[in-house]
Amino acid sequence: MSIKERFKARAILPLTTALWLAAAGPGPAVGRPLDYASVFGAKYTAAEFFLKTNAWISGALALDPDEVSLALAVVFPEILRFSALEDFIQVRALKVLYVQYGKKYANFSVGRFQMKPMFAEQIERDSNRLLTAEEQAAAGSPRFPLADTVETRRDRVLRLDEFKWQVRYLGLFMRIMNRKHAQTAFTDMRERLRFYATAYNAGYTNSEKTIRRLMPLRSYHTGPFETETKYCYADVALFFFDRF
Amino acid sequence: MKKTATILALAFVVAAIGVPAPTQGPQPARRMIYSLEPGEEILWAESFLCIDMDGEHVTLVVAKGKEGPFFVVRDGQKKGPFTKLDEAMKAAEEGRCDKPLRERESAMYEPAAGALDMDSIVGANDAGGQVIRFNGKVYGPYAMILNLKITADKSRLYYVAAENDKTWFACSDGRKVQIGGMPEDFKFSPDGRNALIKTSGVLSLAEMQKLVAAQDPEKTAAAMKDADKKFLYAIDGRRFGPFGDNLSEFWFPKNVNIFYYEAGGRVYRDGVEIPVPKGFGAGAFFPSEDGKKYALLSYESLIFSDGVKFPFPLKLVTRVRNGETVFKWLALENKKDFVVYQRAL
Repeated sequence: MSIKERFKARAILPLTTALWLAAAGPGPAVGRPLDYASVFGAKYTAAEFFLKTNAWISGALALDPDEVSLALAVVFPEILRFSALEDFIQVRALKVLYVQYGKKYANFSVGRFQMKPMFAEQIERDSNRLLTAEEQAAAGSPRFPLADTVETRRDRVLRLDEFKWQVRYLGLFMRIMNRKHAQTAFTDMRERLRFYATAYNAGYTNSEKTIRRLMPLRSYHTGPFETETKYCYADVALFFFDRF
Repeated sequence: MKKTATILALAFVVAAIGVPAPTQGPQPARRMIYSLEPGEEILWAESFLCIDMDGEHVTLVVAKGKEGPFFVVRDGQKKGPFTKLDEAMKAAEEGRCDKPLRERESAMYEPAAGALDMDSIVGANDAGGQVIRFNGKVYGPYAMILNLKITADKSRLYYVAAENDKTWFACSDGRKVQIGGMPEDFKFSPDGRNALIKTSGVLSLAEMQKLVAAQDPEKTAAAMKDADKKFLYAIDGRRFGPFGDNLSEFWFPKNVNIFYYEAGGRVYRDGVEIPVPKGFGAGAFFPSEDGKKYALLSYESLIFSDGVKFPFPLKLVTRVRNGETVFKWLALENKKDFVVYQRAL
């Protein structure tokens, strides 16, 4: 993307976005690109190293090379976050509560890609609804049983525990997003990445308008609890995308 | 008729909630530590579940409605109401258990790999070989020290060393086993007296080099095929295998000094197959010291080998005392009752 194109992309930020940016709370100055590799230091290096040494992920996604780059960038901020939160407080207890009692307890994150059971549930539903059996097979996944039972919830948690399954869920996410937003206009690949990354982080079932509104939001942090300084998830993903 | 229907209904309820029929096993101690009041919800991200065998220090942050008020419940005592969550969090953090929040609930013995000062342990001799210096003794020389680990009590050192065309798996107490193939990982028991190593193939590196030099394609192909086979060698000299890709795990359970391995979905203790339901990994399998009893932990239940099953254990700790393994765990029953159980294996 040329400097001119980048300028154009910035110039068309809607007014609502600018207002949102102003209201987004403490964080780095708007408009000044941050060097996230320096901001996150060793965590960033470790996350990047993880992707470099796990080249099989690209093959397992079974997507075009451009789509693979996009998919890896979408989850990169989560990989970065995971190294800080690995095996942290009572995740096992939360998994048990989800298996035991269901949806009400589905709002916690698991594994490298920090996927929530409610995200996996939605992916399974949309995968069955929007993708053909062949497309699901290409992503390495079956048709999912959707009954809300202890067994299906247990199996979902066991899938989320397996990293290869997180990769499959990511592959399905990309395919579902491509299907849902086949008609959505993006100025370029970088804008599409920011849109997909925001959707992954904030909920891909949100409307296009909502996802666009959330794109510049600074709510990302790498600690177990909220911190004063927060960053824009989409910006971190884009920084990785441009460098990797 | 009415009586039969009642019994059937009872049996159905028992089956549905997983409460066991009376068995010969020990009855569990059950103690409720808090019951949520109507309208109260636990804020899990803000709560701390901390149990050990000497006590439990469960700090719950609960809310009545999304906007509060908030309460803090610790060890049965309730503080509050707090109008703001921050205030409740402050109260929750005052004097809460200071055990590390990081948790790994594994039934495997996995000692922390302490940093070894390799320069002080491994040295060279005049002939260019490598020697190990440990607790005042010298081991070797060997052509190369491939791996070494020191037991938790620092009384023993296990190592893998190559010498000409031989590879050794050895202990500082003098036991030494010649192993074939390429050594992979090795593990030792909690008391440090037992150890097991996994290898690939049967030929040593030197034998492989000789074979390649001989340029015999048939023998080389056969050797390459052999290289995929896995073996286990115990420090007492016994060899187990060959295994293919189906050797999924080998381990020492916590507090048990006998090794286990899983091959082809079957579990073996000291090389002998034992009956364990399929699908439970090493980290979820808690055997007794004598191997006659066990418990299996899953997201759905804690099942004892006498058939007794307890649903949905949230957090579990174990302790072995006088040869008896005791389990203690937390459960949330009926969406409101926080209960602590304790039961011996």
